[in-house]
Amino acid sequence: MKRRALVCFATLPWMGLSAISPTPVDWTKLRSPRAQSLDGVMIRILGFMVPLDDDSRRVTEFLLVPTLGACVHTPSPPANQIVLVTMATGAKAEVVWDRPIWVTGRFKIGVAAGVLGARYKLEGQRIEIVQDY
Amino acid sequence: MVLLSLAYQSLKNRKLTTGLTIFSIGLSVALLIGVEQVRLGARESFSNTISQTDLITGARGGALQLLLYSVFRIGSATNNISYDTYVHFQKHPAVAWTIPYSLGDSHRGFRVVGTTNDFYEHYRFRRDRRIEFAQGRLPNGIFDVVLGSDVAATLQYKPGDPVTVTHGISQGRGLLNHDDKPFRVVGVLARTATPVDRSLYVTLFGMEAIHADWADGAPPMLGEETPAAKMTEQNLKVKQITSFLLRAKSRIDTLRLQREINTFADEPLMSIIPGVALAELWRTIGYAEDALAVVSVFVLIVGLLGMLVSLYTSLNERRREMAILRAIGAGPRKIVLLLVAETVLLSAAGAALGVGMVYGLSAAFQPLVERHFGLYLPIQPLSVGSFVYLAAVVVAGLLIGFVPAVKAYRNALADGLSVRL
Repeated sequence: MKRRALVCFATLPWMGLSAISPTPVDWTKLRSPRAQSLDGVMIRILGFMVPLDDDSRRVTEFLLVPTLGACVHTPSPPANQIVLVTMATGAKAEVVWDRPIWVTGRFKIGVAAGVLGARYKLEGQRIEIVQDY
Repeated sequence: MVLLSLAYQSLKNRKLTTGLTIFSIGLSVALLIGVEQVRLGARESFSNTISQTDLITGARGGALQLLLYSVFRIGSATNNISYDTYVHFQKHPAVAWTIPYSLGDSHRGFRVVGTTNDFYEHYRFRRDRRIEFAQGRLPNGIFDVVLGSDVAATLQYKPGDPVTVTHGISQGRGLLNHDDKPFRVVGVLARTATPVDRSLYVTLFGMEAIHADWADGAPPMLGEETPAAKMTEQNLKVKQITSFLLRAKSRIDTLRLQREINTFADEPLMSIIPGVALAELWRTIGYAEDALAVVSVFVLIVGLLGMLVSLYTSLNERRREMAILRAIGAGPRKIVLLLVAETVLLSAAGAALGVGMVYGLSAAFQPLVERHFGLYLPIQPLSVGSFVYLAAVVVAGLLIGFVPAVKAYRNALADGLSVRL
């Protein structure tokens, strides 16, 4: 499958040069105990956006899930298949919800609070929209 | 410069056709930019109405319908949900706060919303703005009512005034009034420029009190109603609400909570994420917007063609003018430039008029639109897209100018000088 990524918002030209190249992560890794080793690591992950903030054009916070429609047709993904992405200051994301996006940012495993299990968080720094998939 | 002034003078000489041409271009530009402005304004206004809410829950029905009646006070619910269900989710360990809404009654066309003090405490709009009081205080008695700013301004109410709630949602005074249980205004909210301004707020107990003694959907017979003075929060039991807003303790729980609510066994419920529902709304409306934009582009083309026709036909009358210009030394190139300058002036004036019309009309109709559609259309600077349209209009005018210009260029010098009878 050919993937052409379009660099969208929040792309600072120097970022790609100076930052350590992010570790690509897939969703199965997040389900396994190996996920623990990712805490604090810059990662790059492909997923779908569930916009939480209500601005129609930009979001600063959203959920990243592995499948589109995860919110309606089947039980919602388990806690280790949902990542709460908070965009870093000044980095805003366009609402994209019908095609996958690559999110690059620092992965953090939060303290498990409430009742629903693990907490995966990502401080999003850069979003690329996958145009054809 | 001489050329521009010549073009200007020449246009001035033909006031009526010039005026009509500018007007028709202005109208089409106004349509094109108006559609764009309304589109952006509506999105802005909708998105700014609700913030920091993770889920909206109501009786099962359409997702959009739930969003519209709960947040925008448009349309109405198919059913209520039981208060016990609400309490169940209010006390859910993953829930940070909830705001209940009890809808269905009105006062002079403004909706009456039964809610609790959670509304004043937790409701957020425009990212992080909260509800503030312009006058008065929170409602704490059964018959206390707080007014949105538009309600207070339109009806000229102030704290202390009595308010009679009408059963159902109707304009004007209504027929079936809860006049045995008048409310008293205790506060007025500060302006939010959202649908919050166009509602009256009572407590859940107040909503329950006016419907106490009702049987089979009809009010109690005269003399059979419980007097308002005898109603206390102890002997009133809140049985149902219409919908509620919810914020999760951790937003990562949103999807799981939504699933839990949607599959709640005791009662059919539906829960939506406002951000997702709005995105769906934009996608649905997107087709209509595209259609409107296409129509307005065609209207613009018609306007520009009108300009072409009027200039082209006027060339016949202007043979003499052209010939005199040529005779006093204007080369054919000058003639071309003159005519192109005329069309550019016309289209630029039309574009300016169009922008003026958009702002004039939006200022004039803003209150009306807000009153009737609950849509606050902010008067905002032109979008980048609008500037592209405007530039395109002027460039199109320039290109169109070459058609009559080439025709005039080809006319022989002697053409206009020889008198033909």
